Amino acid sequence: MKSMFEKKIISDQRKRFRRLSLQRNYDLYLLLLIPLSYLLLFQYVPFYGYLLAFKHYSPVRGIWGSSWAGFQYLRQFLTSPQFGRIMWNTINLSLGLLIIATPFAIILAVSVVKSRYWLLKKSTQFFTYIPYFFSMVIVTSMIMQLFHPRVGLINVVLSFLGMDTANFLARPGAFVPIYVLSSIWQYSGYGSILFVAVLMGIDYELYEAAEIDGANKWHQLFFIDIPYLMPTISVVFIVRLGEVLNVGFEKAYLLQNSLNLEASEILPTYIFKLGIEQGLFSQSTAVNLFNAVLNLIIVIIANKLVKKLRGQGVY
Amino acid sequence: MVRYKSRHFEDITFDFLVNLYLLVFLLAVLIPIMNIFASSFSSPSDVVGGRVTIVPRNLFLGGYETVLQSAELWRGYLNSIIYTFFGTCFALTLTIIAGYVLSRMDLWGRSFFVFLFLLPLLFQGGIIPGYLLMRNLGLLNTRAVIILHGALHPYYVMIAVSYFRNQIPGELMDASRIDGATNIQFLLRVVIPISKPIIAVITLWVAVGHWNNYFAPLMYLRSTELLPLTVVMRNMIFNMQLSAMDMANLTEVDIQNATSLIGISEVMKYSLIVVGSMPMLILYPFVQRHFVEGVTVGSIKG
Repeated sequence: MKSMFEKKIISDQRKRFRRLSLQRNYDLYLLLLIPLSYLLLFQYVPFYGYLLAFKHYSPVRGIWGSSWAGFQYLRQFLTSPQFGRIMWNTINLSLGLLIIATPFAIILAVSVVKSRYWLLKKSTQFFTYIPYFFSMVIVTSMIMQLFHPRVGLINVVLSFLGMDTANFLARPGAFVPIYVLSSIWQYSGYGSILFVAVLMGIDYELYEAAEIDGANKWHQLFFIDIPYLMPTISVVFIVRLGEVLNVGFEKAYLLQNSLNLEASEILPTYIFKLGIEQGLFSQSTAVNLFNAVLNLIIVIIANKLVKKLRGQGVY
Repeated sequence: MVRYKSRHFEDITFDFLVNLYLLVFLLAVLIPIMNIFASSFSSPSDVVGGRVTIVPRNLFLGGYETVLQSAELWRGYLNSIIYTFFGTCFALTLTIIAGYVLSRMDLWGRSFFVFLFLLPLLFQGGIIPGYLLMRNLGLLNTRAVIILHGALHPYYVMIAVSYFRNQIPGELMDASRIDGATNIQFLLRVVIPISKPIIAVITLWVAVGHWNNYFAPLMYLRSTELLPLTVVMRNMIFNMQLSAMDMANLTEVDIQNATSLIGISEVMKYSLIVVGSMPMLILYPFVQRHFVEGVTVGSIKG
C-alpha cells in the first residue's frame, strides 16, 4: 500500500520526487561517489588532456601553461606523407576483419545448431572458444612460430607440397591476410555464441510447419534462420563498424617489424610510438584527437543506421 | 527426425556441408595448438629440420628445463597473479556499486549519471593525457597503476544495471524498506546474494582482461621486477630471437653447431608459449560455461 502511494506522488510531482529522492536516497549518492570519483579522475581528466593537441607541450609548464599552437599539429599530421598510408592501413585492416571474419562466426553458429553429431558439435564448441582466452602475446608468439621461415608449420607444409617457402611476416602484403586469418582462428568460436543463442530461441514449430509445406533444409536456412539472425547480425556489424578506427592496438603492435611496417602501421600504433617512444606528446595527442573524433562520428552514424533498421539504437 | 527415408538430396548435402564445416573448423583451431605443443617437446634438430607436425619427435625436455629455471618468468607469474587478484577486486567493487545505484529508478538525476558512465564507450580519453595523469599522480612505475587502470568498463556497468533492474523484484525493496534497512544494507544483504550469476560473469571477464593485459604495463611500467607475465614473455621471446640471430651470423665457424643452437632457442620459444598459456588452459574447462552464459546475459539490452 505504502509503495503504491509513493509511486503516485512520484508520478504526480517531480519536485516532490527530487526532495524525496535526495532525502531518502542520500546514501545512494554517497555510494555513487566512489565509482563517480574514479570515473571523473581516470576517464574525464584525460578528456581535458586533449588540449595538448593545440599546445606546444612543455614538461615544466604543464598542459595548461604551455603556449598555444592552434591547429599546427593537426595540420602537420593531415598533410604528412604518412597520413594517407596510415589511414588506408587502418581502414583496410578493420574492414577486412569486419567483412571477412564475421561470416565465419555466423556459419559456425548455424553449423553447430544444425549438426546432428553430438560429439562433433560439442567438441567444436568446446575447443573453438579456447583461443579467445589466450593473451595477445601468446597469440602473436604462436603466429610468429607458425609462420617462422624455417621451423614454422606453414612453411613445413609448403615445402612438403613442393612450394616455395617464405618469411611471410616480413612481407607487407601478407600482413592483413595473416591478421584476419588469425582473428578468424581466435574469435570465431566465441563470436558464434551469440548467434547460437538466437538460433536456439527459434520456435521449433516453425521448422515443422516448413517441413510440412515441403521446405528442405536450405529453404529453412534462407527463410527461417537467416531472417531470424538478421537483426543480431546487423547490430553486431554496426557495433563493430563503430570500432573501425579502434582496431586492436596490441595485435598490430606485437606483429609489427621494420619489414612489414609499410602495411602494419595503423592509427593506434602510430599514436603510441609518436607519444611514448619518441616523446612527441603534442603531435601524438593531435593524432589521438583526430582518431577519437572521427570514431565518434562513425559511431553516431552507425547508431542512426541501427535505429533505421530496427527502430531502436544500440546506445 | 523419424522421416530419414524421405530425406531429399538437398537435405543430405546440407547435413554433409554443416558437419564438414565443423570438422574443418575444429581441426583448424586444434592443429596450430598441437603443433606448438609437439614442437615444445621435440628435439632441436627435428624442429630446425622442419620434421615436427602435430606429434613430438624424439622427446626433448631441454626447452622446458631452461625456461622453467628462469627467475624472470616466475616473477612475471607472481606479478600477474597480484595484478589480476587486486585489479579484479577493485574493478568489481566499482562496477557493482555503479551498477546498483544506476539501476535504481527512484534515483533523481539517474539518466544524467547513466550518460556520464556511458560516454567513455563513445569517446575515449587520449593515450598521452592518460599517461601524463598517471605521472602527475605519481603512479608511474608502481603496482597501483596496473590495479587501478581500466577498472570501470562502461559495458560491464550497463550489464550490471540491466541485470539488477530486471532480476530484482521491487517487492524485495519495499519489504526491506519496511524492515528499516538502508540502501547500503539492501545492496549487501539482498542484491549481491541474488546476483551471484552476473557477478561471476563480470568477475571472469575482468580477471581474464587483467591476466592478458599487455598495453597498460607496456605503457606505465619500467622496472623489470614489476612486469607481468605478458610483458616478460614477450621480452624473453624477443631476446631468444636476438640470440638466435647472433648465432646465425656465426655460420662460417660451425654450421652444425649454430643450427642446433637455433634449434634450442626455437624449442625454448615453443616451451615458453606452452608454459605461458597453461593457467588459461587449466582453468578453461571450469569457467567455459560461465562465459557462454555471460554472452547471452550481456546481449539483453539494458
